[in-house]
Amino acid sequence: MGYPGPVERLIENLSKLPGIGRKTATRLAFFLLNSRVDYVKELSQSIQDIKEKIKLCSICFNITDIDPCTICKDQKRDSSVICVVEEPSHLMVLEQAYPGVFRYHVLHGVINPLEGIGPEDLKIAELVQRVKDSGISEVLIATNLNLEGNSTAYYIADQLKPLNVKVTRIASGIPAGGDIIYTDPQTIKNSLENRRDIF
Amino acid sequence: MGLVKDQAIVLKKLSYGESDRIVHLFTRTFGKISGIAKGGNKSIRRFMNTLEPLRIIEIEYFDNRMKGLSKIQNAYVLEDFQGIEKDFRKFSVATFFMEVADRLTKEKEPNPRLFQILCSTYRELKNTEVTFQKILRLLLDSLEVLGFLPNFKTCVHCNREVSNGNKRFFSNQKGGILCETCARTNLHKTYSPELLTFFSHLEISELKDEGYLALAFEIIENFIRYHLDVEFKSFKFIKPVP
Ligand SMILES: [Zn+2]
Ligand SMILES: [Zn+2]
Repeated sequence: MGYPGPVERLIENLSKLPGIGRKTATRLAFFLLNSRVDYVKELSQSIQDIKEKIKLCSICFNITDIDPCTICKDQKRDSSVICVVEEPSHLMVLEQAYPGVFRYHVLHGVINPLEGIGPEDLKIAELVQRVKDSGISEVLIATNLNLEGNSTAYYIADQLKPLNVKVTRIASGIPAGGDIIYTDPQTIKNSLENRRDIF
Repeated sequence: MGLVKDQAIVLKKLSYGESDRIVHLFTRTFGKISGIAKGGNKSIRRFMNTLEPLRIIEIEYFDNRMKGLSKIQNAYVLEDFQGIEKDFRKFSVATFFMEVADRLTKEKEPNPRLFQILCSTYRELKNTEVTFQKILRLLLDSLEVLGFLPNFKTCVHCNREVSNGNKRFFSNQKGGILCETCARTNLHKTYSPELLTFFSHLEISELKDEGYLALAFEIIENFIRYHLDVEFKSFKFIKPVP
C-alpha cells in the first residue's frame, strides 16, 4: 500500500532530481508536509519563477531576470574586453574572484564531438556578431583548459581572425600554493612559456 | 590478479565520485578495458595530463579477472598528439575513431590491428591534412579488422562472383552487393559500378568525385546503423555535407 495520491506524486517528482533517490524523496516530502504553509508557498513560487522569470540576456547570454542583465548594464566595466566562458556558473566563479571588471559572453557549452556538440550548438556566431557590432578590442577566452575547452578556444580564435581583434587565453601553469616537484610536465611547460615580469 | 603493463589509448573518460575517474582504454594487447584511476579527476599529480585522449600512453594496471574495473596504477605519455584539438575537423575525426573503437568492440577482445589503426589515425591527423578519402580509408580499415566490412566482392545472396562492371546493386539489409539475378528479388539500391568497385579494391585514394565520396559515406553509415545498431555522435562532423 502506497501513500495517499498527492504525497506519492510529490515523492515521485522529487526523486527525479539529481542525487535524490526514493528514500530521500520520501523524507523531503514528509518534511514539506510538516512545514508551515507560507514556506511551502514560497518554495513552490521560487521554483516556478526560475522557469517563468529567468531568461538569457540578449547581449551576453548569461541567465537573468532583466534584459540586458545587470553586468551588461554596468557602465563601470571595461567595454573593450569580453571574457568568454562556458557556463553561467563559470561566470559566477570568475566574477566572485575578480569582481566588476569584465563583460562576459556565455557559450552554453563547449565543442565536444563525442557528445555530438559542434560550434553551431554554442553561442559562437553570436559572439562574432557582437565583436563586429561593438568596439571590442580584446576577447579573453576563459573556457576550461582541457581538450574540449582548448578546442573551443582555438575555434573561436579562428572565427575572430578576420576581425583583427586581440584574442587572449587565460593563463595556465602551476597553481597558487603548488609545488614544482609534483607538477606534470605539460603544466611545467605552460608555466615556463607563460612566464611574466615579476614587477 | 597481477600487474599488467601495456600501451593504450584513452577512448572515453567518465567522472566517478568527487575525485576518481573511469576510463575506457584501448590497449595494444588486450583490446578494450575499463579502468578506474583513483584521484584521476581532480588536479592530482598522478594522472594529470596522462589519462587523456590524443596520446599513446603506457599504463600499469591490476587486471580484474572478474568482471569489473581494472585499477590503474600508473600512466606515462609515450607519444603526444596534442594540437589535433586546435582543428575542429581533425578533433572530430580523432574522436570518431575513438567512438568506433569504444562502441564496436567488447571488453578484452584483443585486436592489435585496431590499436595500430588508432595510432596511425593520430599520427596522420597530427602530421598531415585530413581528407574525406583518408577518413574513409581509415574507417574501412577499422571495419575490416573488426570483421564488419560489407561484402563488395561476391553476391551476398547466391555467393557468385560479380565482375567489376556489374557491381551496381547494394543491399544494405544483406550487407553487400547483389548480382543482377538476385537484385530482381532482393531489396537494394543502385549505384554506379565505379563506386562499388572502388570499395571492393579499397582504392579510396582514387575516389576523387565528391558525389561518390558522399555516397560512399552514406553506404557505410547506413550499413553501420542497420547492422550494428550504432549511431555515432561525431559522425555528422566528419562526413561530406551533401
Ligand atoms: Zn548580459
Ligand atoms: Zn546473386
